[in-house]
Amino acid sequence: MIRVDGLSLKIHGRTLLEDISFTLEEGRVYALLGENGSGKTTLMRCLSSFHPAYGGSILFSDRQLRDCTRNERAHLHSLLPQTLVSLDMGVEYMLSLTSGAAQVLSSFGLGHLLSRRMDTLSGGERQMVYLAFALARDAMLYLMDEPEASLDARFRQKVESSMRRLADAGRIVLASFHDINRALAVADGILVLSEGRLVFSGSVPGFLDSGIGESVFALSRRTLLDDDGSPVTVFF
Amino acid sequence: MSDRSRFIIALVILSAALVTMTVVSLSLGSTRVDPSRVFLEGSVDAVIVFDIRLPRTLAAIVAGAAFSVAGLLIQTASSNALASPNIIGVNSGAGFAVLVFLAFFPQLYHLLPLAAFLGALVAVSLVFLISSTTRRIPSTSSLILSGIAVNALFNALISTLASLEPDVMGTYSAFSVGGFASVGMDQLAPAAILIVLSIAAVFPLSRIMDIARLSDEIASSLGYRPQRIRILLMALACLMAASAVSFAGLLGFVGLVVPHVASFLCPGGSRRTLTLSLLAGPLLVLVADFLGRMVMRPSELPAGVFMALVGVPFFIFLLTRRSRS
Repeated sequence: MIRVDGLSLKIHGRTLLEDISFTLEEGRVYALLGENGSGKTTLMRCLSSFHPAYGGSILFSDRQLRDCTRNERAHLHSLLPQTLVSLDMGVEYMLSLTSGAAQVLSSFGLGHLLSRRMDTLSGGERQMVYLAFALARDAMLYLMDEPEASLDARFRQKVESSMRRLADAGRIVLASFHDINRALAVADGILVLSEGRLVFSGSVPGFLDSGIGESVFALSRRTLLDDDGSPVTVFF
Repeated sequence: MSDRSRFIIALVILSAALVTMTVVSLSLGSTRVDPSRVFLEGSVDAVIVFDIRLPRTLAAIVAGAAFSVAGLLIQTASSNALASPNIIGVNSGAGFAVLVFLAFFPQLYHLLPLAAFLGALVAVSLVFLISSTTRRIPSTSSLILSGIAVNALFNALISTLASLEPDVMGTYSAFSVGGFASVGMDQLAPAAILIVLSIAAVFPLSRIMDIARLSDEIASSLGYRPQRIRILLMALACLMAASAVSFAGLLGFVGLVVPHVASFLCPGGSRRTLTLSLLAGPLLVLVADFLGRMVMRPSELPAGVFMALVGVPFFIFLLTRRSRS
């Protein structure tokens, strides 16, 4: 279990996160929602040790993140960042920096990319290569910052099924989404940030009941019936 | 062709070229040397080869290695393909310190590499301090802009010192373009030791360098502190470039161009780029030094001047090839 308590972060006098508390449980996929600039990336960066000077506490099981050694940190979290640089590095070489990453890429059916160079890949292909890098690592928490940002439906499906596989294997996935509908389809739990504060944390039905979708994101919603007749809520 | 075979081919060709160029640099020069007399003790030929050409050749090799590896480290640490020792202030800071030493403490010349290192450290720290406070400009351009400002400051200080102390003026003009005309073993040895040690320290860091190139966030999620990695790489770069400045002068261009040549020859990990830079840098400097002393003999062009004359067109050629591919 990961327990975040009273997390706050100030950089250059600006408050980016304020008094955030929530709990993440093993075996679940969590979607992090919020408008641009609401603090999603900053929160992920705190959880992945990028911002060490945060206030409050982040507990991985019973270990304080800030007290962990380098080796311990490396086994706590794995991150797919939002900004992916395009390097003149071979894909195969890049993936060799983490053992097993090349096999993960092949399992996506993308083994043919191994002989390419990073700077010749499309945005979606690059995203999948970095995802393979992140997934190959053995960690307690997998953080994915906008994993579906530049993906078409085919790749998106692979990403979402790998999130589910990680959760089934007892790991925790926290992924940020822009598309609420994708988040509702994939996640077990929802976290919503607004202006650096956590305004909702709970289950998908709880999110639908809370009216946050309408109030924070100014969206309308409609309940449709899917093929087998069960109701599906869609925001638009 | 796979990256691995490209690397091996580049490695073999560059090694062969470097060995050939070393032999050529030792055997040819403004004076003809009789090979049969080189190993006769006390002969003029022996003096020319072992006391003049050997230190000069070694100096060119060591300086070429130091500037190009420093360039690669600085480009990695600043994530900026335009960064190089002379652009972020290493050369002018080290150059100023060297001139201060030559003007005021000429008897302590064996401490020159240390003075150069301190000068470089001051200049680079200033550059980073200024660029980290300019929040409105994107960090890559702010680094270059602060580099230009700090370089201008140190170059002005160098000129001031050169006009106040006319004795150093002569030394200064040779120093500012960079070259190996008067390098002796006693001047080369302490700097060379520092350079060899700091280059040896870089190789174990190559995996971390690659991870830092991918993304700071990934490096942190792997448990590293990317900021510390960058500072360490910068400090090593300062140490080697500044040591090289202490005997080679302000040889600017190598550090910018060689890492690009190396990654053009074989795109891939830092270990390969490092290895190829270690061969291509000395080769480039040796060629520049050799041609500089052969083309207009018996007078000579400093290596720094020749390198710009030959290196700049070559660099432009590489850039256009690269943008087309």
